[in-house]
Amino acid sequence: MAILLTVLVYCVYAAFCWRVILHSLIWYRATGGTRQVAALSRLEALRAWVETAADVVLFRRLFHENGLLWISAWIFHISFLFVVVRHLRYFMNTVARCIVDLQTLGLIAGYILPASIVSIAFVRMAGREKYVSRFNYFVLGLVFLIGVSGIMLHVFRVDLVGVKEFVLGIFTFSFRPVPHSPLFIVHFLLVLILVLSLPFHLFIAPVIMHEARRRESELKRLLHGK
Amino acid sequence: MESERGQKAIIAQNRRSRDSRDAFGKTLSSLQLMELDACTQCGQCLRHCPVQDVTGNPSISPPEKIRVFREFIKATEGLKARLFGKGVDPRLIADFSKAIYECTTCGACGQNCSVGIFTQRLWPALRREMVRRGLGPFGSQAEIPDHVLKTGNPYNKPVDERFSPWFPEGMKVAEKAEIGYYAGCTGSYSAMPMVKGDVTVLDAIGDPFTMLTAEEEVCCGFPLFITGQHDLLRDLTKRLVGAYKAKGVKTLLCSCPCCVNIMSRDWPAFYGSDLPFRIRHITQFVAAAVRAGKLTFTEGMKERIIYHDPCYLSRGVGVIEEPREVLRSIPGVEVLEFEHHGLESRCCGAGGAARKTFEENASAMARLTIDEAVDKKADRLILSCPACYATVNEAMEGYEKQVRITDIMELVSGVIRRR
Repeated sequence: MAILLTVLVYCVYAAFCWRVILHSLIWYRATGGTRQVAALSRLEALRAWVETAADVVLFRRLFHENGLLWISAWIFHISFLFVVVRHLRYFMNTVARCIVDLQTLGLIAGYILPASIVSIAFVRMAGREKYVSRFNYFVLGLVFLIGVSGIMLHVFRVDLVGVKEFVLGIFTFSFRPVPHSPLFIVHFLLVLILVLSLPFHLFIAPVIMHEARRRESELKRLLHGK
Repeated sequence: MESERGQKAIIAQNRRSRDSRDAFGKTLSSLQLMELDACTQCGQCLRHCPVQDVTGNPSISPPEKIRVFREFIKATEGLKARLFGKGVDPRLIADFSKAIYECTTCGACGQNCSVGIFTQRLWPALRREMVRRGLGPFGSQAEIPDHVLKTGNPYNKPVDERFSPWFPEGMKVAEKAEIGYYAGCTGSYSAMPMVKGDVTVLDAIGDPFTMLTAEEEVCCGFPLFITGQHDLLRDLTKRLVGAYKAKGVKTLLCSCPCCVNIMSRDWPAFYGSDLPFRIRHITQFVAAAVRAGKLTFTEGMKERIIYHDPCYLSRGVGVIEEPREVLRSIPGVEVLEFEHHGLESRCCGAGGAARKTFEENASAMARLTIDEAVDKKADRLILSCPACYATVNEAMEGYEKQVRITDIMELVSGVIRRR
């Protein structure tokens, strides 16, 4: 079982890396040109960067569109971040102090995460013009199940030392047995599916958000500059 | 201009139907491909889509178009697609093509996008891909390149009728001048009061201005660009830019938002460098003239008027305040606003060259504009785009709600002191 799961992990990460490379290749090979129509001053460029940072961290564009969806989505992403940070202890031989300090917050975030997904789903489906694709349902459902199975692992106490040895073993190529917990295996497999299907906007949206801010400054100059 | 036969051959070659396994997205820029990946599919843009307002069909919604196009790329790119890919069902591509041409490309979705995708340029890029695959353009749009080649305008109207029906008799146009005026095809053939108003106001301001002859003033390329038919664009741009440069033009004025949009945003790319003159919308020039005291009004008018922002002028190039400044400067006029105005303006249905191919949608959207103008008890609906002018006028025919439609320069030309 350990070997099977380990091979699966390597395959999933290889597929993920290939996906990133393929997307990068597609972007690189593009032939259509994009031309900046008005150069920005240093101050405008700096403002665009600052506004982008605020957009990325605070989801400001979504806030202007839909307050309810914004609060749900923001809590979801922040919870997800804290949960990921909490899980870093499984990947470090010596756990850093800051990671230890964030364990309780990570645990609380673990409980909030499924609730925020329910909230997102509710807002998305209750809207006048609702748009939810099958992929949306799939990813939301997947993260919900990961969250719930994670909470159950905390409630029913899995062998944490065994989990850490198994995970570290994968990354150090010194394979260890899988903890005897069907719940852990389910949780682990669901995470692998998530890695395979991570929405690509997570990686590229900040670039487009910056481009949008730059374009806003450009618009002011397009027909009004010298 | 290259020979007509050569141009036709290029067009025919590019229209040839392509293999469904041919990779998608080849005509897009890197940034546009990233934009496709950046869409979070949050669906908030649907609330702002004017086509959704009148069709309620989610398959032509912005996130669905992006999702489907991503699927096309996935099905035709990469090792898996090459080894096991069956390509994309041609019927699916045809449905997508219809959806992409039903859009008015007004850009309201991008303006309100939670990521900030520039849809006013993304949709035309996807249309270009459809043309490359022989699945676009739609209906009469396919005739535009031939019409432009033959007559210089997309409507196949005679060259000698470009200026003669509306150009005021006796008005002088300088042979060479720093101010150039481009009337545009839609204004010249479909919205004559508008272009007549333009030259009347320019004449009243008193600065010498020049124009190209009816033979020289060809299409700016916007109808070709917006329908994804790029073959003639470089040639048209170089021809027009060269002609204005030869006349010593330093500022090129135009009242058509679509022309102004492509001139300022895309002409430099097609021309290959920065333009030798600056582009300005006519309201910018007129507002400056009013401020400088070069243009005065003979009389006021006690009217409540409502101004509709054309999508390509407000969201497209950021001209929002100047038309209002001009209107407010007319004594006695009360300027009303639509609920959605400025950067948030609602498309009247004329955009995206869809008004002739999806007439019902265009008419329904235009009637929503008329409804709001009537509900706000406006005496006049002021437009500043020939396509909006033509569409709203057409939608008014046989409609129970009526409002007087006037172009902004047509209105101004009626109340100014002439030289």
